Amino acid sequence: MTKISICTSLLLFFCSIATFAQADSGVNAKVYVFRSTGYPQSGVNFRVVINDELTCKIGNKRYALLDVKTGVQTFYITTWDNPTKKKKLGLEVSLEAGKNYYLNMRVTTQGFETKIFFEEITYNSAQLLIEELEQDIDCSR
Amino acid sequence: MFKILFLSIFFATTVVDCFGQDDGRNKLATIYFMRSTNGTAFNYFSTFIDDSLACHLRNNRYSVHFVAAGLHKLQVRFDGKKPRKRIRTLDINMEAGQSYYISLNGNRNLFADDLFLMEVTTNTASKLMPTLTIDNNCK
Repeated sequence: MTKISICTSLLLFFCSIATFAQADSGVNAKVYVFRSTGYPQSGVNFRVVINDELTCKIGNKRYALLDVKTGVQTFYITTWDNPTKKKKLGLEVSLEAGKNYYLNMRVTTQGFETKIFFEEITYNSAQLLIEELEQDIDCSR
Repeated sequence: MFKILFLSIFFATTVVDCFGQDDGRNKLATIYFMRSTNGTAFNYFSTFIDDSLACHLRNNRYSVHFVAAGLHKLQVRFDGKKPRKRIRTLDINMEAGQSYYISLNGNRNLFADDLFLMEVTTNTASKLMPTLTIDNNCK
């Protein structure tokens, strides 16, 4: 009986430590959002929509740093004249706590249709963009 | 008894051989060049690895290249077969056995278009790859 109680107490003790540790490090993931999309639609804000929430409006030649909840999140881009998100162009990213993620905006034109979408890039490319672009400190306005 | 010994030696040597082959293959890094630029679809874009021509890529194609591990400089231009000195290169320190996905991005500007390389993650590449076809002989 004593053995079992000691075992269970030890188990509970270590488990509780583990959960506390996870809670401490369970902060949000950092997501960098870059926009340098050239001439088309350069006068218009691009709006970053995460799942259903409008989180950021970003101008051309800017980048922003967002705190996003961990887990699988879907990133969309909308504009003021095209406010509905397009499900085909959404990018799913599974975010882990404490890690950095870099998302780049792209605009392509095909015939009469313009597509605005995200692509996830690596740190090698992102560091060039961080040097080049200006940071938008409060983009949630 | 001798038969078993012989067989064991035979298997041991073959297994060693297999491992040797694996090591040789793992010393290379893989580069994927992916192009889906819909604005300027007609001409070839030439990509370079360390100042030597790697591929003339058409639109909606991708190409695969194997290089030794180490620092490599990648470049793209839309006119000509020789690398330029002034164009900014994408420098990547490549590790053996890894694959690197490079996307050819174009921006339209008011007077001249801009063309550059961007390294994307496997997450983006796996979404983009099914829409492209492989170009094996593109030099």
